[in-house]
Parts: sequence; structure tokens; C-alpha cells
Amino acid sequence: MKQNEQPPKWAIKMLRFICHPDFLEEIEGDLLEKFESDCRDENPSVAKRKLGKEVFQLIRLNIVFNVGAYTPDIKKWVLLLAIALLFIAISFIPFLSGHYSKLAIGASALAQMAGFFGLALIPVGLVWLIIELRKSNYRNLKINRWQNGYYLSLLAGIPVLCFLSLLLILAFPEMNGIEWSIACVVFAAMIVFLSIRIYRLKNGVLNNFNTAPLYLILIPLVAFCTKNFLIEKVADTSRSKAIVQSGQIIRALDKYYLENGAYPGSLDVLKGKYLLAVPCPGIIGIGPYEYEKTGETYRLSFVQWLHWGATKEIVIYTQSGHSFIKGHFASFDTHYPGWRYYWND
Amino acid sequence: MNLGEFEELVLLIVAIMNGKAYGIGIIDELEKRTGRSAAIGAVQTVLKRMEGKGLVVSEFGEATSERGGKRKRHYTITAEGKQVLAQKREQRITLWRAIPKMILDV
Repeated sequence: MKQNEQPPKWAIKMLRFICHPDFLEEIEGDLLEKFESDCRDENPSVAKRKLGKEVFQLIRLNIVFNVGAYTPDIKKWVLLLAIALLFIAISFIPFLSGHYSKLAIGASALAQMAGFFGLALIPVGLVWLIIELRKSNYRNLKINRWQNGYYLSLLAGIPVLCFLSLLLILAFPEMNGIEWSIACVVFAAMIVFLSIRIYRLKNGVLNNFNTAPLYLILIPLVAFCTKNFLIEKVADTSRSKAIVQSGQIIRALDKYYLENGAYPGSLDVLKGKYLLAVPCPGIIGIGPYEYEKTGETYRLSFVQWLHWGATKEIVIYTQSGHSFIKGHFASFDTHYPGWRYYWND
Repeated sequence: MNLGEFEELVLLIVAIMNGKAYGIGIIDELEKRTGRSAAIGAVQTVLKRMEGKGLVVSEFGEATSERGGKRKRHYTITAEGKQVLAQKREQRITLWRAIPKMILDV
């Protein structure tokens, strides 16, 4: 037996890096015992090679992260899923049927914003997740939450909420009373939720998987996918609905033209004989139709907010199907004759 | 309960070693009895998984110098593990009995 043979240092270092702290003592002991036995039976260089191979074969999910140690807490996963779905729903609200609401547009813009600025949080979430998964003796461990930054991260949520609320107020100064009430209730609910979380953390014992880093990873990804792959599809549907809804205005305008030989100066002129009332687009994120007489003809339009980046699309009907829009960076045809939409920043 | 082929082998070895089963010991016993070699990572993964399923329990044992002063972790089969093994055995016996005699005649 060669007493002086030592296992390769790189293999031991790699083992300590790979192996979850919960398993390290046991597995390191096994490897050293096997190395000792191999040194007795074979050439030391073969024993060292075998040890290196064994260390590489330890790169397994269960060994690196001790996945089986976490007791599943269905409530936490359901909450994570619900919040992800909430982000999708909030992003979609302006494209649904209903009364025009600037609050819905603002909320959608904020939810979509998470799909851009939030992407910067994904690496943070991944590192945090790895740290969480590698914690030793995780279960039933009292954690010093100040040292671990739990309180600080939760307290940081309050200025973030204040900032977002301020942004909403500044972006949409024309919100009405009901919208203000909704915004205040949501804001108050968030403050209460955060306060309860902080209080519970003070007294709690962390006994299962901490899903906090998953929020940092999942929410931006969900918001990003919603913004980039789904919003334009739902915007197509809402645009089409608003165009169809405008049909009665166009018919009334045509009737007015036949009887008077010219188009009216405003839509209000149509009220009564030609239209009972000027219809609304009927989409939450689309404001009222705008009418403009342009010489012998006219222009009917509406605006639909599309992306968080203040991208609004101006959807315009002209009899020729073309109009000049200042500052647009892209324009597209619709399936409806005379209607075309323009994207503006 | 579902038990993979390798899991079944490791569980049998744990049962055979009767309270003295630990990582390297299981690998040696497995090789001695079946001629099959296994990596420490593979055996440890299976042991952790079976511990999660409640088929085995473990506790730290003694530290030895040949292990660099690291303690062994001894695994013992639980009542649930024994029940699963018995079910597996029954399944196999039933299958063997179902094979027509002439097929087994060489």
C-alpha cells in the first residue's frame, strides 16, 4: 500500500464545488475510501484517473442541488402561477371589450414594462436560485433575515411601488374618480400584503423552497413573451372590432353626403337624423373615434396603445386608403378597405 | 410504487447488508453479487431518491482514517421498502409462472 498517495487536489476542489453541502461529507468519504482501495490494488495514476471520472459523474441534478429535500408547498406554486397569469391578463385588458379606461392602459404598459426592464433581473434571479438550492440543512432552519437580505428586499418593494404609482399618475393625469379609487385600493392592498409578508418573516421558520428568485426569472419572461408574441395578435382583434363598430358612422356619413353634397364639419351634426348617438369603439384601450373633414373628403380615426414603449397605433379610415401621418415609423394595411394603421412613438 | 431496475437492485443490496449499507459498500456488494459496476454518483442519486420515497432511512455512522475522517452514512430499508420489494418479487414470480414450460426447455 502506498501511504503517501494523495487524491488530486483539483478533483477534491471540484467535488466540493459540485456536491451539495448536505451530501459532501458522505460522498467525499466514499470517494476517498475508494481511492485508498484503488491505490492498494492498482497503479496510483489509474486510481487518480478513476477518482477524477467519479467526480465528473457526480454532476447530477440531485447531487448538485438536493432537489428531493424541498417539501412541495402547492400554495406557493399556485401563487407564482397566479401572478404570472395576472401579468398576462393585465397586459391584455386594454384589448378587451369594455369602456375606455386610461388606468387599464397604464397598468398594461407597466405589466409590459416588466418584459423589458425585468429582463435585467433574470441573472440576479438565477444566481439567487442557485444559492437557495445549495443551502445546507435548509429545512426548519431559523434564518437571520436581516443578514440574508429578506427584509431589505421586501422593504425595497415599497419605494418600487411608490415609483410605479407616481409613474402611473404622471403618465395618466386624466384618470377619473373610479379609476383613482381602483388605483388607490390596489396600492393599499400591495402595501398591506408587503407588511404582512415582513411581519410573517420576522416570526417564521423557512421550511421549504423559497420561490422568490423564481419570480425574478418567471415574471419578466412571461411579460416578455406576452409583449412580443401575443400583444400584436390581440391588438389585431381589438382593432378589427373597433373598425367594424365604426361601420355605422361611415354609413351615416355617406347618407349625409348623398343628401347634402358635402361631409359634415363634426360627427355631432349626424346625431338625430343619421345616428342615434355617435358609437364608441367599445374597446377598453381605444379612445373615442376622431373625425376630421379634409376638403371634399374626411378622415375617421382612433388610437390604440400598443406597447409599453409609448408605441401607439393610429388607425385611420380615408376613402383613398392613404393619409399622411407625421412621425410614424411603420404602417400597415388592414383587412378592411380604406383602413390603414400607423405606428408612432 | 414505481421502482426502476437499478433502484430495485440497490434496495435489495441495502436489505442484504442489513443496516451496514453505505455508498462504497453498496457498490462493492453490487459488483460482487451481480458483476455490475456502478458510479458513486449513480448510487448516491438512487439512494437519495429512495430516501425521498421513504423506502430507506439513513443515519451517520463512524468516521475512519481511510475516509479522510469523513463519516459514513448508513442506509436501512424501511417497512415500506420491504413491502415494495415483496410486491416486485410477486410480480416476477407471477410472470415466470406464466411462461409456457416448453419455452424454458432448452
